Amino acid sequence: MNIDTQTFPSRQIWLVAVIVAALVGIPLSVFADKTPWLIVIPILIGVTVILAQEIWASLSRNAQLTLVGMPKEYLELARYRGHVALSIPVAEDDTRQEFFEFIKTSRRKVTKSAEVITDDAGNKVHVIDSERFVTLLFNRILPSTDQVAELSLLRALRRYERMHTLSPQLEQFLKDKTVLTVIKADFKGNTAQAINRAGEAVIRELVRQASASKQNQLKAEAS
Amino acid sequence: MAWIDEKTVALLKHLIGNFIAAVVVLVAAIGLAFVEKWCVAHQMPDYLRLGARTISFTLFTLDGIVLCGTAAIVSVRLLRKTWEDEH
Repeated sequence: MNIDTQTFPSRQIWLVAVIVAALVGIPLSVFADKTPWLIVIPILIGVTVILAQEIWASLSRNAQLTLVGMPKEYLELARYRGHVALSIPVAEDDTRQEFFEFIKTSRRKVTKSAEVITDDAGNKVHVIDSERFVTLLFNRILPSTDQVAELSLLRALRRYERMHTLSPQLEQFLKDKTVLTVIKADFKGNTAQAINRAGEAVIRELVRQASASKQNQLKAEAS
Repeated sequence: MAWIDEKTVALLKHLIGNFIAAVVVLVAAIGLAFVEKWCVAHQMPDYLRLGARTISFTLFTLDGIVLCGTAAIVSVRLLRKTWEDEH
């Protein structure tokens, strides 16, 4: 597991050293003849800043590990201004298929690019194929599932380490690469399945709510 | 190399790399200190002497911060690693 990858802050050390030496060292050089021990002051300031950075970075590393990187153009959904719709295939499966006949039938082609339609009020609506949406969602989520699984395993290992009663067999089991690979693969598969089911359930629920709302509206207009 | 692990080796490499760079700066600072002495001995203009002294003092400061800062970080990380290994 390659989680604890701490990079050495050489650049930060030199940057702090240059800044402190320029800001504090140069003014103090006036007194260098009479009181040369004053050099201790900028050195202490610099070392304190470097150590403070190290401790701060260590604390923030422990607080939360970044698992998913967001693209630069990312906006929170609450700040998104626009209309997006999901299109769901409405054609029923052909139930008259016989044994292996489904191989001959052509599958519905998933539209990769979003279609733009304009509603009655003149608003542009981006219509995205629901399968395309789920595919892109998987592509974004699955690469980070290994990291998520590794992080969980690492936390579990640390908790075991604190117990001081880790049996050699269990330790060997938890450090076995094959076991770790199986756990990560299983986690990935289960995550994919959960997302797929939850995504479908969400879409069905939203469609059901929209249909009910439309029917209520029609009833109100009729009465 | 059984008595030392990869993480410690990586930390020591950083330590040595920064120390080598710091030695280069140290040589420059010592050289400028000699320049200052030379300016005094040969009664050169004050601005040359002061300039050499200022740069020399600043380089000594820079060197001290880099050396002590690097040593401090390596010490902290080694101590933390030792503590984590033991507990």
